[in-house]
Amino acid sequence: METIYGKPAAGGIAKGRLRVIKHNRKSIPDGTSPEALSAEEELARFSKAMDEADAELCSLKERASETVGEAEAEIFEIHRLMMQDEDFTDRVTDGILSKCMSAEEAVLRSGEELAKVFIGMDTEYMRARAADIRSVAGRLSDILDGGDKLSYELTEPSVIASDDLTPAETICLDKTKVLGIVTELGSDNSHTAILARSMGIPAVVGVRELLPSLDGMECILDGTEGVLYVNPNERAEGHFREQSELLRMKERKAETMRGVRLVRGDGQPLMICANAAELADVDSAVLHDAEGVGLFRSEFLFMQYGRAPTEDEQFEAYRGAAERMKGRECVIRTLDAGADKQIPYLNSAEERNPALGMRAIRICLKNPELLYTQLRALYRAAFYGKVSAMVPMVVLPAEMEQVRALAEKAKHSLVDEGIPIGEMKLGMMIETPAAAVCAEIFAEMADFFSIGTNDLIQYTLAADRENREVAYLAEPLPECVRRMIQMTCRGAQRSGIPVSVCGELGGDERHLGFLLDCGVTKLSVSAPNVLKTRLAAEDYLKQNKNIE
Amino acid sequence: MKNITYTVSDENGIHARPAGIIVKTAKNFSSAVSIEMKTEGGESRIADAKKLFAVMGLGAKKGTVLTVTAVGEDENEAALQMEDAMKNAGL
Repeated sequence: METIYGKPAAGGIAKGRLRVIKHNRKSIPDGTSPEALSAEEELARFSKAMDEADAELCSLKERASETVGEAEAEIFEIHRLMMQDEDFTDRVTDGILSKCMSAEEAVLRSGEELAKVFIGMDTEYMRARAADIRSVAGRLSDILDGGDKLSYELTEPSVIASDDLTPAETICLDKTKVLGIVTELGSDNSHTAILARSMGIPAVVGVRELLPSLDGMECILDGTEGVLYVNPNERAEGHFREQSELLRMKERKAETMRGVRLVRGDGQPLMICANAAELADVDSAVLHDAEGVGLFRSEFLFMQYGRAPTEDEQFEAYRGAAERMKGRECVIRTLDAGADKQIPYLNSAEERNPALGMRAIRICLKNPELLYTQLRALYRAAFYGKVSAMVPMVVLPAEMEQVRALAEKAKHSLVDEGIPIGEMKLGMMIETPAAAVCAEIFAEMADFFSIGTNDLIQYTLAADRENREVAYLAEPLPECVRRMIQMTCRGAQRSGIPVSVCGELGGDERHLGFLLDCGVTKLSVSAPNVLKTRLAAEDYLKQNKNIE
Repeated sequence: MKNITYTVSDENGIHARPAGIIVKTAKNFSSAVSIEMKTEGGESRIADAKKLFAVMGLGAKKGTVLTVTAVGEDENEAALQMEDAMKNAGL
């Protein structure tokens, strides 16, 4: 048995086949590949694939430098240079033009020829570089094959192990077949972790390098402890049985919370809602008896077409969400791009510090048509259900004023055009000290607050939440963060607006009491955690008769 | 034609990162830029400095003496920049 340790990222335990799928070389097609299109067409395919690969590598480089370090990020820069190098591109072009190869074949063969150059060299380091050019060729080949980077066959439900999963790849996973996720990169707050939690499956991140030889072996993934057991022995099997039983008991207990609605000591309802990143999550929210969607991330719309979505495309999606909620509130967050969510067509400058740069509401106010269109789509959707909007990363009152002005404009334009709209609350996310400290001022301009605890914690502590080196600063929850939350709630109270928590802290039982005491009236967690959060909240309320 | 010589001091020789910097720098100039060296066995190797695989393929190690040659309109500037780039890359 092999025991591999990492950071727990999503709780739970799973047993099944381990599939190690990395961004690696593929085998060269043996010449009997599907007929190549004309040379011009293959060249065009190659060129397009290079653009896409370049964007991927840039994004990977950025993620790596934020989560792991500059040195690791450097490798993606090397990959880009290799891909752009004339020796590579000339070979591919030659293969296509003179040898009638398809783009895939040309790419893989060229990669192999150049890999041989490295293999023949006399240092370990240089020989290892063969893997780099093969990786580049493999990446291009995968793109050419149409879409899913991690092209693999899941014949049975399996535990997926990978070096990293990009946001796009996590979206492409066949959720019906994934039992758990293990990655080498990432932190317990990375998108991999958030995805796993929303799927209700265990996840472990930050493990040491996963060898492809482990592929296909039986394994047990303990997402609560952060351990992967490959070829588990008797003890590990026993541990699995025990933990599974415990989880099942917890689940049964949590099920009793279905349909239960909580009331705080001060008579106000406490709503337990769910977060969503796409429409399937909205269905999941309803399935898990969430009382609403407290955070609907709209980025998926901006990432799926490779261009900005039209007003109608957005409207269709928001209306879809609203209708699925069947009368329950759906809070949709306006575009929160930038930082770790790079959207290629929106980004112009290379930023040294994207998290502190042109992102979220800043991009929207710089390109107001973007936000205006989104607001119009939201108002239109509000006619079909209970839709609220909220704005991310606001730090100055002037920003909120601009947003409100734009919202008014959007609303009136629709009324003038005779298009039906609905009432829509406009709230604000509290994600930075700037917002928390002036909560009193912001409370006069927002219909509600939603605390994005992940970002609030990292900006208050000036420590990157995806950086495993400094993660310790946030644990246990420091007093400074508590005060930020208290300030936010006090400010809100002065204007009589409600406060919800949509970050991961809301689902953390240890902090439930604190949040409730501050006056939070809504917790939005990942759908599979709704019932158990409601259970924990009920426990606390019973014990404390929580009074304002 | 402008030559400069440079002795590799990096423990890892011309590994990927400095190779990348060399290539990026050389590509800025219209001049043809090449790097020549002799291996331990006395064999002469020459590479186009604008090509990543060629530069890495030299397999230059610590202690290797490189001769960078620039030929063209901006050869002086090119040679100087190449030297600077290699120094800054810690090569």
